[in-house]
Amino acid sequence: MQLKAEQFPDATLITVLESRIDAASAIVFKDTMRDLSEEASTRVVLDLTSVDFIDSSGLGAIVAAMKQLGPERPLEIAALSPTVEKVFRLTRMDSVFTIHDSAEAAVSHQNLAS
Amino acid sequence: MHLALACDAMAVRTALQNLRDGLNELHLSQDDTDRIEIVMAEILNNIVEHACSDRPDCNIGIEILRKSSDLQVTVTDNGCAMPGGTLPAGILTDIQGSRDSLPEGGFGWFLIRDLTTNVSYSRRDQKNHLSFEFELGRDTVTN
Repeated sequence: MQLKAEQFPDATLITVLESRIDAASAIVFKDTMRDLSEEASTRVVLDLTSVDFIDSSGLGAIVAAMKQLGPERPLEIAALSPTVEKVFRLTRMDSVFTIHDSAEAAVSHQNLAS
Repeated sequence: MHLALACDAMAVRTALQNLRDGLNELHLSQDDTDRIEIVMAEILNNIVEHACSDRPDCNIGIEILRKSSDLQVTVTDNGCAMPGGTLPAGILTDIQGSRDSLPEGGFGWFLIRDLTTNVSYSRRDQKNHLSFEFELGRDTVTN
C-alpha cells in the first residue's frame, strides 16, 4: 500500500498512490496510516485522487485512521472519485468528514474552526 | 453473464474488474456500473470472510441476467451456511455521537440493501444462493 506524506504549513498531506482501498488492502492501509500519523502534528488531508474504489472495509479503515489521529488532528478527505463519493454519501460519512474537491484546495484551506 | 472465482480478496478484485468489463458491454450507465460494483464487492467480501473462511476448496459463482429495466443477479458459493438462515438487516449505526463511537464496520449490508431490491437467501445442495434485483437508471441525485 503506497502512501506518500508531505508537510505543509498547517496540514500533513497523505496521498494514496493505489487505486483501491478494499478488503485486500484495508488492513495494510490502516497500519501504514498509523505509522505516517506519528509525523503529523496538525490536521491531516487524505488525498484520494488516485483511488477509484473503496468498499466498506476501506471506509472502515479510513474511519479507524481518523480515530487514530485523535481530536487534535482532524482527518480531512480530498478528491473523491464517483464510486468513492457514492460510498461516503450512501453511508452518510460525507457528513462526518470535511471533504475537499482537490488536494490543492485542501492544503490551502485554512482550518478556521480550530 | 457468468463469472466464477476462488475465495480470496485478490480474486474478488479481479472478478470485480471482469464484472465491470462485462457490464460495459451491456451499455449500462457509469452510475449503474459503479453501484453494482459496490454491491458485488460487499457480497463477495462477505462470502470470502464468513462463508468461506478457512475453506480452501471454496468457490463462488455469479450469474447476471439483463432484463429491460433491471439486472437479476444470483451469487452462489459452497461455503458454510448463513448463521440462523437469515440475512442481516443492515441498519446503519447512528453516527451523530462522538468521534470515538464512530463505526468502523457494519456498512456492508446497509449498502447491499440500500442499492438492491428483493434480496433473498436460500441454502440448497450444500450451497448458499443469494439473489437480488438491481434497478437500472435509478436517479442517484436524490438518493
